[in-house]
Amino acid sequence: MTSELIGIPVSVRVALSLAVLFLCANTSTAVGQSSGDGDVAVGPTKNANLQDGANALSASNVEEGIELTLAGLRDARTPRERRTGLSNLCAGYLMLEQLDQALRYCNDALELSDKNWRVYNNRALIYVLQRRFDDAETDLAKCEELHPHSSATKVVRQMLLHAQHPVTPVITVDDRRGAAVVEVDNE
Amino acid sequence: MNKPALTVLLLLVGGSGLAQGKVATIDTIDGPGSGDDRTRDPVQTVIPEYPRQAWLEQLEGDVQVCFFVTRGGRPYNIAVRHSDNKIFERPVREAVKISWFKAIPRSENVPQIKTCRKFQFRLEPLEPDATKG
Repeated sequence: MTSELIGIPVSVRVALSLAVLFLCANTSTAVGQSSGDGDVAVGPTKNANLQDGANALSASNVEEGIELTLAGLRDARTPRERRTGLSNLCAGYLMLEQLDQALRYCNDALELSDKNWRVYNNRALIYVLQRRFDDAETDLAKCEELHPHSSATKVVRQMLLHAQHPVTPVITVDDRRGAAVVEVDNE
Repeated sequence: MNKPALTVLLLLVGGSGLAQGKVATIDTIDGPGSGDDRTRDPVQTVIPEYPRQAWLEQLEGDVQVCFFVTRGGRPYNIAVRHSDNKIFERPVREAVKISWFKAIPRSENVPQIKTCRKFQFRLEPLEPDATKG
């Protein structure tokens, strides 16, 4: 379904899944661990629903993950918890390909903090799927500024490239001898 | 030695099938028959997969490999003679390894000549309409 939205080749559809899962794994890790990025919750969260929601999302139990994260968001006590919840909801709805809903949560998360590269990355992916290529480029540039060399960002950039310039592989096998023969001693 | 060249061009245009390592379409363009008793005629030419990462990064390149062929028709001592990018070398080696040439009868000598094969990896733009659905 998603690949039909942007007309990407099948192999990129696989990359899309990986990208979403990767982002999800990132965000779920972010809930419970300190990465020093400044854009994630630090230390084990006391918000069990938020933690369980992140775990469910990273295990691809998306509906359950969203439900738990919504519950966790209602119990959020700190801006960081709220930010993480919004970011994970963005990733969750993105995995469900509910792009408008995902975009809403990404925007909400960025209103709380415009330094979270993961949210920019998620939103860039949404924009790619919505064929809003200029917006995707802007968010990817922001990602690369905030967190250079991110492999998740690289995947989204590749998807943007394929969405803008779709290509199909062609392999030619040429056995013409004139160009290629190497003779050896014939004993 | 003015030997007629054997020309075998296999053109594979792959879409989704290629991504899965399947052959979507093969066009074979045969050149003039060789009549060359030193030439090994291909029986089965395996098309390599386009490396996923190369496709994602929209990388193109050529690889030329040279190899000997056993009496039975199996390639061996496959060596890369030219390569634009290492990413293409492994699939080429693997494709050549499982390719097959016509066997030489025991009554004839096995030609001690290397066979070379060039693989061109290209990405062609899709028509915008072709990307819909």
